[in-house]
Amino acid sequence: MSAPTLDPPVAPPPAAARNRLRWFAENPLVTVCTAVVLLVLVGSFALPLPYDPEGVDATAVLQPPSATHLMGTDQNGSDVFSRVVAAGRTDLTLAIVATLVATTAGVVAGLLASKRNRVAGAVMNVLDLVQSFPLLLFSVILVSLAGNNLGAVVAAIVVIGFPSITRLVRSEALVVRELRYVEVAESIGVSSARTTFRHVLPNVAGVITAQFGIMLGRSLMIIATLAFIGVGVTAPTPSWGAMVRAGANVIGNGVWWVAVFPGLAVVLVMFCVNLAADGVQRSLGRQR
Amino acid sequence: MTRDLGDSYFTDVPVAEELMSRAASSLTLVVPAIVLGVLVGVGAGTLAAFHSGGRTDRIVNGAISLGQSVPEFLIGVLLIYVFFALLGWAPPATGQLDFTSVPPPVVTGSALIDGLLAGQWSTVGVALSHLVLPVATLVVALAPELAKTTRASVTEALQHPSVEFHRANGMPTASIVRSVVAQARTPVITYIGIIVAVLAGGSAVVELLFNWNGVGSWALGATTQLDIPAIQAVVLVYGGLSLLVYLSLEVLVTTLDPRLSFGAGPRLRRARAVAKGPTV
Amino acid sequence: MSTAEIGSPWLEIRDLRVRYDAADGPVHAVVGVDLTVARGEVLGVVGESGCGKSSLARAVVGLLPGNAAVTGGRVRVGAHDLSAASPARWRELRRTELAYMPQHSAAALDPLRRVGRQFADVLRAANGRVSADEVHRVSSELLEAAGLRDVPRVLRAYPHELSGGMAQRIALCVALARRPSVLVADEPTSGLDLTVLRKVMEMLRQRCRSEGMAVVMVTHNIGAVAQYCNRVAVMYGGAVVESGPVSSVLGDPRHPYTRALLGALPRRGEPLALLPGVARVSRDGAPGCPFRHRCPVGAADPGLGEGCANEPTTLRMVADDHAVAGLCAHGDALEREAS
Repeated sequence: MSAPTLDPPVAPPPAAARNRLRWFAENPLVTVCTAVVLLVLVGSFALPLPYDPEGVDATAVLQPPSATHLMGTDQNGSDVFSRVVAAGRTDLTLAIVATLVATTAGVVAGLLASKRNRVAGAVMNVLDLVQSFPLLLFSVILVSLAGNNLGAVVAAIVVIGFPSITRLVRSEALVVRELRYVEVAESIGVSSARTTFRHVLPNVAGVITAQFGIMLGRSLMIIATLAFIGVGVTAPTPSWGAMVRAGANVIGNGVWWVAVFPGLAVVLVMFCVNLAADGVQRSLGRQR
Repeated sequence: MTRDLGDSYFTDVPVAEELMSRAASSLTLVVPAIVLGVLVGVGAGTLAAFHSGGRTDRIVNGAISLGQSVPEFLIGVLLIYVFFALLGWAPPATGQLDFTSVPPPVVTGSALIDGLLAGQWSTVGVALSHLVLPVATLVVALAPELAKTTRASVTEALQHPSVEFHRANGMPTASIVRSVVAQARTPVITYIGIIVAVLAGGSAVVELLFNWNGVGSWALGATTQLDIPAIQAVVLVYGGLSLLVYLSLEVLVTTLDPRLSFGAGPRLRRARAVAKGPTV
Repeated sequence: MSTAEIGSPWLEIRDLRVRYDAADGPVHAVVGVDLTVARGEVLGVVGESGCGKSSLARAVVGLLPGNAAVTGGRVRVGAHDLSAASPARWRELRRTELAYMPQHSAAALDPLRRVGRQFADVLRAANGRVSADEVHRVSSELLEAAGLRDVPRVLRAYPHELSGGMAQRIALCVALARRPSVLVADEPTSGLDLTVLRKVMEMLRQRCRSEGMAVVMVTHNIGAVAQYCNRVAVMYGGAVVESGPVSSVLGDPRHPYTRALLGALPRRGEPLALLPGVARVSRDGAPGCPFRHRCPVGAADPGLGEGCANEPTTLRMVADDHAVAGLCAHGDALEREAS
């Protein structure tokens, strides 16, 4: 006798994907964090700058925070507040551009490499090798050799970042490709490109979103660290990393404001980006 | 084509000599940092996983989120401000020794080891005190990501059906914990391997910030000055070190886990994708 | 332990209650279950998903998840009352007397230990020092009885080198190695093909006969119950609605739910009789027949509804050892109709 079984009633599919607004309401942490990051971004462009961020004032060197200089002044007498805001423009724009390029490159490469063939395997092995190199030094060399410009910074971040995105998208896409409806699509003769972009891509979108956030954080970290070392965004253009470096030279004397305010700006953005990415990942985990 | 690494453009000293004279001082910093960072990170991650959902878990999670958001250089700057400028407990960021201390005869290049070799105990004390902040910086920078990897890995192991089966068989708690640890260790060991590979050539940022005369800050200086022989040497040596570490890692992991075969099994690959590696 | 004779009551469950604290309020998964299993007997527990049978199984061996607790009733194994057992006592009992096979037991083996080691682990946990020869003898015997070929190779193998069916049978053998007097198995038959299923069940029956082991087998597979169990308990909504000897309950079902359940078995030439509605869980633990919301007899005769909502769900004997829940007026109504 065969084994008759009593199957559980089928649960309705999660409605979260259908209603984006409701998704944001159900994930307040992600919503708040995304809002803060956007606010910082808009603020860095919209806030009025009380002083010229690159201006030098020999009469007001290393002044502590006060009503005239909200965050004090640095060794050149420049207003730290103006510089923190202006640095946000450069750093955030750079991070977003680099992340967009890296994510796009990673997603396309990951989807292409998710077809099972030998070329894909070889590509992944090469990417593994790239990833195993000490990343910071790699980017310093890259940016230094390329002439220390912002384009080189973006290129360095893309080269560093896209292998991990490629790997993740590929592994997710491999799972989706095994699913019944993709098999069905292939069996009724849907073209490979159409299957990839109509069926596989939407199903890895959530993972890509989370990865975008993680990559944004990594980009900002790399930009700030490079600037701290003195590569990439260089003086007199303000950047958070370079400002902390300048502050590090005087912090031993108890002058904290030059380093701490730009440092806090990095931490605020990083914290919100990380929490949002974590939240998206957790929400994806719940859906499975 | 010669078999050495060439001479530096700027100092005319053979690059190999430049590297060797700084290796010990970098390792003096990196080795204790990795040991402590692993203890803190793995310990906190394991605790959080075993108390999933409880207060310990929430505290560790909060610390991880915050720790991941603070750049390494800022950790160092803040530590210098608090422990040197405000409290005066730590020495200034003047490298391995104070300006006033008598350096021991150079044998390895590490003031601590050379001091020990020469028996200059006061120098050893100064060298030790100069280690505290840079090591602490590295530990705070390393621990969060490691704790996160450990927590995820132990949580997954705790959910494996074999854990319940062990309990169903009345196995003692100690052997259940041992089984969980054994199942969780592959990704954690992989991640530690990545940290070792990245830090094998010294930590550039921390050396720069603390004026530490090590391989990392030297490589950084050579690179930004476009000292081509030095850059070539750095690429060669660092690439070689990474390959060596990854090869040993693969051997170690495949011996520990019978499910993996040499040439990176699926588990290791996934672990490598998840552990995205420290930025620095 | 061997003093009690085969056939004497061994595992006794009285008015057992289990509650889960779910995120959206409490769930009463088991609401007063009475069951007895004698030495050497195999009891099948059947019912649809969510009827509380897995919670019952876990409660008996003290392995409820963290958000669940036994809120009332007693479990007794031989002379041991398990109601007030400390965690250490539970561990000790599981190490020796109680065995539990979780669902999907093919994945239950430790992935990083060879099969032989896992036998050694449980035997040494139960009996202290056990020689390697003894471990080898006991495990080989069990594995052969379970129909595994090339036993020496199996003992050296890691779980990932085995097929799912093999791993499932090996896990059962590991659980039986310490000669437990009670085995609670959650879905032990799923995933096994029919010849293997037969082997496994015959091995279990053999163990029951020779050592007086009492088996509780939670399953969806009514066919296996009919073939291999002595007695059967039908669960619905956290309560046993009917229990008794297999021939009596399956041959002459009294409770409307049992009839619906058996009606849903596929038979050649007949359409499947499906029961409308979905099973619900009890959120308040209130008395009353849990099946009243879906009962076809109740729907046909609304006058009965009052009694069904208020009667407590105690069992009542209708034939030799054959019990039906409550005063089940419906069952009686059906009876009257028939006569």
